[in-house]
Amino acid sequence: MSLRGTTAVVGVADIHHPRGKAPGGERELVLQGILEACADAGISPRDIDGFTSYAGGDHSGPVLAADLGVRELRWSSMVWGGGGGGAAAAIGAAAAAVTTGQAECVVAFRGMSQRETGRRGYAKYYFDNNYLPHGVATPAHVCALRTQRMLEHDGVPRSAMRNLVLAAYRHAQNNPGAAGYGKPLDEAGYDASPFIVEPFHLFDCSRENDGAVALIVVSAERARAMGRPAAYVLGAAQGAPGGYSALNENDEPYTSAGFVDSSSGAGVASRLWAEARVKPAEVDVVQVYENFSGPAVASLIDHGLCPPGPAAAEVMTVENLTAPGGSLPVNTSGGNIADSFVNGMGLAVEAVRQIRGTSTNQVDRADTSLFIGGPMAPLVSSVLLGSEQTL
Amino acid sequence: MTAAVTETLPAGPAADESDRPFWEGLRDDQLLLPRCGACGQWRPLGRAMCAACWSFDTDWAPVDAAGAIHTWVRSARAFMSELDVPVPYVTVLVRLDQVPVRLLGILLGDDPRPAIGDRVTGVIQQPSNAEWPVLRWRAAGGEDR
Repeated sequence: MSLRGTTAVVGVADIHHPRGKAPGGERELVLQGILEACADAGISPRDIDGFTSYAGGDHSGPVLAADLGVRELRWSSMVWGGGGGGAAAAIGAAAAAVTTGQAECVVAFRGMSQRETGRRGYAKYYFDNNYLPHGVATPAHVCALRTQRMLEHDGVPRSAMRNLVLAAYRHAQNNPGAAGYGKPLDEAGYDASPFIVEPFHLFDCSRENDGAVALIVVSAERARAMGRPAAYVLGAAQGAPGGYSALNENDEPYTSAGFVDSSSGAGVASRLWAEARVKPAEVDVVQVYENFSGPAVASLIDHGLCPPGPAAAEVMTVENLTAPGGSLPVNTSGGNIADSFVNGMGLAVEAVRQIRGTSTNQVDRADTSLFIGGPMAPLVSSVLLGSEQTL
Repeated sequence: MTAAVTETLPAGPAADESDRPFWEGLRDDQLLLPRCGACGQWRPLGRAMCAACWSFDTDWAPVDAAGAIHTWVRSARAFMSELDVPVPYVTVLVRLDQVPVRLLGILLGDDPRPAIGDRVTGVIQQPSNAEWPVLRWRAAGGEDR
């Protein structure tokens, strides 16, 4: 059994406000997001029968089902572990539920509001006594540790990180909803920005927004009957090499983003490509979760989209990374760095827009559109979407 | 010039006390690390059992606090108000010479300029605002790339 072509995303919503500025509470935001996604899909909220999310948000399927007045709840699942690493896995879980007939119309969602979740830098709730006494207290720290080795030991050039950021800012100039809209960034501006945790400059770090993102997943058959532009799920995978990253700096694939076991080549990335029957070179456009730029570069390497080591410089040029002309257009809305950040799920919506042809930085013809979830997390995930032509 | 730190640095055994021998070791001025009581496999701190043979038996054995920098970061902001070292500070991940284990720790010294492979030796320090000592590192000269 495979997920290839059995389901599709038929409705999306991407609501974001500046951090701490959402007019309502987080639950209201999530519900607004789901209502918008239903309207986008042309379905009634009453038709939803499943909910998936990740990163431990507070709004469970039964609560949302009651709020929305759904007829019957059939599926409610949270991706376990990995924070933003589970973003694509939430879509994969929705697709798995629909493919196996457990549910018919599942919404994958994430909501965040600073007032309620208080996501500040210091993650005292997560890091333990092997980290905190050493001043290692934020996601930036653990991603920086791995990134520094990727740069200094593996020889990936800093330009790979910088160009990913500059391409995101270029894209943001065409996206009026992006935080970086009207604020172009050049190499000098990037280099002059202060270090947060070296090797990360300010501009290497994602934003943080209040917001809600929702994606409606139904069967491919139903999607075709709906007669709306659908983004078909060609493959989805979650996981990590055994022992990777989970409050442990002792894992072997240390500079991997978690999508591949460097010794065997197995992992999330290879399972994704095998299921989708698509090769990395055949991907038209990529949305890669950048908690920080360095882990995003590592994700592209893990997925075979960019060579490891010094050769990364050849692929990671601003021109290559920029739509519509680039060979590897990445983060075409501006991404987590230059557009907005609702735990990275906005990238999944942009991946859908590319298939629909509605991105503000539309690539010429997007038949395959990749969303890579949060990297260098204890669990990571990816989902590949495709147009009807790919089925 | 740094402000007086009055909050407690979160150093010391985990709530379940499973790593108490490590912290007791630091109080006795030695580095003790967990080793499987059944098969002898060394393991990093923070794991609940032996991943090689699944035994829960654990011996805590002395290890030389010497190794090479596996990676490092420099924190430019005061993320933790209770940290007793001034910003910016460098944290290193050290690959120990004697056993296949990596340990984190702050790299001491005036404006340290670390590189991967640099040799370091452990220094056990008692921060004034911590109940337990912590293991920190100092450049030892030389490199081991």
